[in-house]
Amino acid sequence: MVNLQKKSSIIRLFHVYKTYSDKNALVDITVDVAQNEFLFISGPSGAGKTTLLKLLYLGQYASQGQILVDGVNIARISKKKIPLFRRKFGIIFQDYKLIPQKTVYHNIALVLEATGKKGRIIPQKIRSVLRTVGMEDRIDMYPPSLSGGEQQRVAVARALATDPKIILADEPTGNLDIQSAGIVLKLLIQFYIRGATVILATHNLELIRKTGGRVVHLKDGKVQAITWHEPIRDF
Amino acid sequence: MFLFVKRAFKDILENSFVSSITIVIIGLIILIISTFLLFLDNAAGAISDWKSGIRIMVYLQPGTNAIDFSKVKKNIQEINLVNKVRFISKEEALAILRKQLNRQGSLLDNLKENPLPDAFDVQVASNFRRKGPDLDEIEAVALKIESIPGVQQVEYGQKWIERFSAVFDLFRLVGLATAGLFVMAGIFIIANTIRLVLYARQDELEIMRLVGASEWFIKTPFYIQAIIQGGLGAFAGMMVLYFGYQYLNTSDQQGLSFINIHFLSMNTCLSIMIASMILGWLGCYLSLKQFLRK
Ligand SMILES: Nc1ncnc2c1ncn2[C@@H]1O[C@H](COP(=O)(O)OP(=O)(O)O)[C@@H](O)[C@H]1O
Ligand SMILES: [Mg+2]
Repeated sequence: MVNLQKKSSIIRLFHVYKTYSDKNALVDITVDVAQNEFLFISGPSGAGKTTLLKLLYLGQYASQGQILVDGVNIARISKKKIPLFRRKFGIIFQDYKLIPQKTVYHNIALVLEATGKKGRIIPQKIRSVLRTVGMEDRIDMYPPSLSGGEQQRVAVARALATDPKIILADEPTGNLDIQSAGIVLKLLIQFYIRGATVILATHNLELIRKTGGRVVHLKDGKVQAITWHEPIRDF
Repeated sequence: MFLFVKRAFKDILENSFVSSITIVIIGLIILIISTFLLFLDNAAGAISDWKSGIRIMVYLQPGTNAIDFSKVKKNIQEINLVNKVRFISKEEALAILRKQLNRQGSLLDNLKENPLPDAFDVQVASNFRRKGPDLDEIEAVALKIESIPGVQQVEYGQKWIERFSAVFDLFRLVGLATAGLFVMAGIFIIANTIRLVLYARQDELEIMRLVGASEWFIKTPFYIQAIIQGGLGAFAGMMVLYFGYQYLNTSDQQGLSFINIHFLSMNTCLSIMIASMILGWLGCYLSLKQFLRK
């Protein structure tokens, strides 16, 4: 799918540990993620996938070890600079995390405003990302009136809206039927084709088989293996 | 900035029930405090008016002749702090009394001779400008006058003013302490309202954090909201006070007009308003601090 060798690393984890009180959620993780790679993190529930993603966007601090993002040791990022740092990422969750009281339009407008966009750019951008995910006719609807797949597409549009370099997707298809899952996956691959780096955490091996790519297998917080899968068909 | 104000107003409207209760309670607190201030302000004014109106009456021994009068007057005038000295002859005093007695004045016609003494009316100044003289000051002057030959008796300042002054000071202290408690209650109420909004917006806050919204972007609307609530509450409270004041001032003219009640000055009103806004700010600060720690 990609030629990894030529690309430099955008994310490097070096002997990273994460301990919750007395539980080791991650143990000695050393992984490099190349610029514009589509990387899977797989493993059973409780393996530490979510924790790993959280460490990347500083939702949590690593207990030990070093994480570099764009060449910066993220442990050194001051609290004040965290918001700016987070704008590198577009994050997608299993439960969508849309605000039910806001329309699709305002859900996306919120992140644009929060990241300092102003004026006419906002409606333009919203329309364009909704077109990308095929949801422009739902612009004035509220999330609860949408299907799970549609909600996740809105969430994807929201992640896209700020033009992030890196997409972190935590079980994005976990609640979706096969067809919706396929649509969401295709969207993520589109991002990747446009140049973004995508890290997708899932316990669904079917997704991996369809897409292909490098897979980090986690279990009990440890890296069990790193494998490479050929895609069964190219998107 | 406009966006923040818009968001703040939206929040207030969305939680209109809680917000209006908050504003009403803040209004009540401000009403109580500013009523108290109004009272203090007027009472302090009245007391100093009374004090400056205090005079020393110096009664002369009967049979003192005219030459002695001027001597006594000169002696009095030489005392420190003495402002004005006016001679009241016994005839003048009788005339005044007759006037005061009004219709019963004819009673005095039966007197064979004038029983009243000649007197001086002495007005005392104060070391402290503007304020009336202290009772200590009056007392000191009175003592000196008493020792002047030809003076029979000295009468001055109603003791009750002094006592009233002391009670007033105590009242002010208790009042200020109570006002302090009310202010704390106000902060607590605003903090609570903001916390309710924070809970309602929990998901939104989390998302804003995840996408990299600055702390400033996240918090400012809450501060604006709290400041608006503080300001509106203060405005409402003072409007009620003002209308109450107007009502009393116009309807009960006979009863109250002997004391000239004046409303709080523009500066005081503005200060109360600003203080109430700061109170809102503080409530919000506490709420955010507690909420975001989790
Ligand atoms: N905030 C937390 N506090 C304590 N333990 C946690 C916390 N988050 C995750 N864990 C534990 O860390 C381990 C890894 O969790 P997680 O990263 O969510 O796994 P996954 O996403 O692969 O299911 C689990 O055993 C989980 O119970
Ligand atoms: Mg998980």
